[in-house]
Order: sequence, then structure tokens, then C-alpha cells
Amino acid sequence: MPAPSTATDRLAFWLGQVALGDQPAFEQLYQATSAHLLGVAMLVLRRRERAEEVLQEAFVNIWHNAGGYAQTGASPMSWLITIVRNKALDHLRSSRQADTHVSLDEHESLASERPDPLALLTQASGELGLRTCLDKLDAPLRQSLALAYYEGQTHDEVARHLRAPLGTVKTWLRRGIERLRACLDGLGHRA
Amino acid sequence: MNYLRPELLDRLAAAHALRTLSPRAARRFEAVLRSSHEARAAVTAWHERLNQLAVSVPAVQPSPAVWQAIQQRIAPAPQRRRQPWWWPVLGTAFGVVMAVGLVREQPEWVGITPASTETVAPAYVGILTNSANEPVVLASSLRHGKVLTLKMLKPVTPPEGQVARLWALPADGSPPFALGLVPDGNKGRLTLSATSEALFAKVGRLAVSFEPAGGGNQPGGPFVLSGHCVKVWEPLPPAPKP
Repeated sequence: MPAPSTATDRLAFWLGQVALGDQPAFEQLYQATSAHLLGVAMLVLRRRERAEEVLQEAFVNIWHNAGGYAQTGASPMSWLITIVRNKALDHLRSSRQADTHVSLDEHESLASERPDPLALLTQASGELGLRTCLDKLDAPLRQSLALAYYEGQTHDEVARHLRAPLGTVKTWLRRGIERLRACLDGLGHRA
Repeated sequence: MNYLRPELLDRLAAAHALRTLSPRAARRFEAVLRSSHEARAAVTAWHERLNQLAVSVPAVQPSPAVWQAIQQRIAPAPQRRRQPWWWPVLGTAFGVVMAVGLVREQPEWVGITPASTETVAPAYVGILTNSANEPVVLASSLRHGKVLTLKMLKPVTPPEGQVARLWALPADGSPPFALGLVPDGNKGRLTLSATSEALFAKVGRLAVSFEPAGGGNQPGGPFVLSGHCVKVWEPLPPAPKP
């Protein structure tokens, strides 16, 4: 096999090796992606201890299920982010169910310690070259997209956060992601 | 409802990828995903789009313990099979039970003389395991004594020019304090600066790191061995009868 050249090729190569039980490849995959993935989990869970627990769970999962990656047709980083983000959200939502008041209060008190989701969306659209396209979107639409993606907020939570009716938020989100798709597609056509 | 209507399918796939569906709607859609390749492909496509937004998420370096824990959990099966079934429990909270059992059954093993045939002298005991969860060092000290007895179940061999230093890790997260160097050979004793009750009452774990000889008062390297530090007291008296 030729030496993988791009970062994405390298990740895909390591995932293939991991599926064969190659531990050094697994360690390289971990070294290359764990800090980014922990960042994703931290946005959702806010606490390092919990986020690290989720990261550990996710990588044990990846070790056992790397063989399933090839069938998904996903890019390696997106596949990894999806695993970590889903696990973080499962963790968050089940702990809230167990003790709504405490965890919600605790959650709010930690709010100031992490990056502002709207700022992250703005930065991402800049880095992806979508600035002119995404910035046309009304502020509440961008905000609801940012809260739903980065923090994993549900419709109810976004509605509470933005003090807007639930139905309105659902419409905002639908239009927000439609615009994201149009912007990304536009990018694809230009390339 | 016809989930495979393209427009609806796409909308549900986006919401599923974003995780904004209600738990009930999510369960219904997951049933669709199991049977429809088209639906799975639509979700994957949405993940691809949405996850590009993660490009701006600030990276957070995980602590080394995360990788160590992952490595332990994916240890190759053959290696596990060579070990007795109870091996892994030594590294966990069950280690507490094992330590108590060990002291009761083999008090002379950990350097503790039984106070009587019925009870065990109060002591602090730690079983330090390596990254493969194998017990390597047994540490024990009588509650009011000032000597820590160490028994090496496996050799502890620091790299050339380094020493193996034993640390006590307070349960409240305050900085570790050094207890001394792990002696050469298969057993040894360390003289403590105070009684073990004074030193260990608030200690949750013991650990060993390899340090340059003469090193500082805080661990510089990662812990190569660690284990719970357990109080082994006399059994509780029977509950008074009403």
C-alpha cells in the first residue's frame, strides 16, 4: 500500500489497521485525534473528568468497531467525531434524566468557562470559506444552529435559551441546516 | 407515515445527525435506519456536513491516564487468559476486599502480626499494580507504627540512573508526598516520618514513579505502579440487641 499522504488518508489507513488489531496504529490514531475529540466532548459535557470518561469509552469502542467504519462511507474524522459527540450526548442526557435539577444547575454554573457557540460557528464558517454564504443567515438561525451542534441542545433547550416559541425554533433550525447544506454544496461546485 | 419520502427522510436524517429529535421520534427513526440503506446514507451525509463545523472547536489535550486506561481495556485476550480470573479485580475497588482478605489469611505476609486469633491488628495496606493490572508491590504498616513494610511480588527495576520512588496520594487531590525509595530485592522496610495513622488517614492511593536519583519533592515521571491504600480495621462489633 502506498504511504498515505493527506491527514485524512492517514486516519483512514490507521482505522483500517486498527480493524486488523494493530495496536501501534491505534496509538497513532489516538495521538492524532484525541485532543480534538476531547474538545468536542468538553463542549457538550463541560467537565473534563466526564469528557475524558466519554473519550475513553469512545476509543475502546473504536478499537472494537473499526471494522464497521469502511461500510459507512464516512470520512474518518467525521466518523470519529460522530462517535464521541453521540456518546457525550448520551451521557449528558442520561445524567440529566437521573437528576434533572442538580445537573442542570451545575450545567448552567459552568457555562461561562467554555467557548461561545456562536463565536465557534463564525470561526468555522471562516475556516471553511463559507463566511459570505452563512453570514447572510439571520442571527437567531445561526444561533440556534450553533447551540444545537456545539452544545447538543435539544429543540426545547434552544427555545428556552433564545426565549423563542418551540415551533419557531424548529423552523429556524430547519432553515439553518438547509442553508449550511446550500453553502457547502456551493463550495463543492466552485472547487 | 412514509419515512422514505425523500424530503421527509432528509429532514429526519438531518435532525437525527444533529440529535434534536425527541427520544420517541429518534427511536422510530432508528428502526427505519436498521432497514434502509438510503436512510443510513442520508444520516452519514448530514454527519459529514455538520461535523465540518467542529473545525473551530478548541483542542483539549487529554491527561495521560486516559490512554493508559484505554490500553488496559484493550489488552490482548491471550495475555488475559494466562492470568487467574481474579487478577483484574486487584486494580479496582475489589482490591480493597482482596487486601482485607490477604491480611486476614496471611498477616505475616504483609508484616502484620495478628493481635489475636480472632482479629487482625489495625493496619494500612496497599496493593500496587502495574499497567497490566498485575500486583507488583504490597505495602503495609500498622496503624500506630512508623515502619512501612514492602514486599515485591515482581521485581521493580527503574531505568539506568533512576530510582523507584513511592508516593502517597491524598484522596482530596492535594499533591502527593514522598514516602521513600522502593528497596532492591523482594522485601524491605521504610521508616516513616510519623505514624501511619497520621500519614495515611486521608490517603486514597499509593503509587510508584521512576525519578532521577535525588529528584524533587513532586513526582516528575508518570506512575508506573499504583493501588488503593486501604484501612484494615478490626471487624465491627455485633449490633447491640434492643
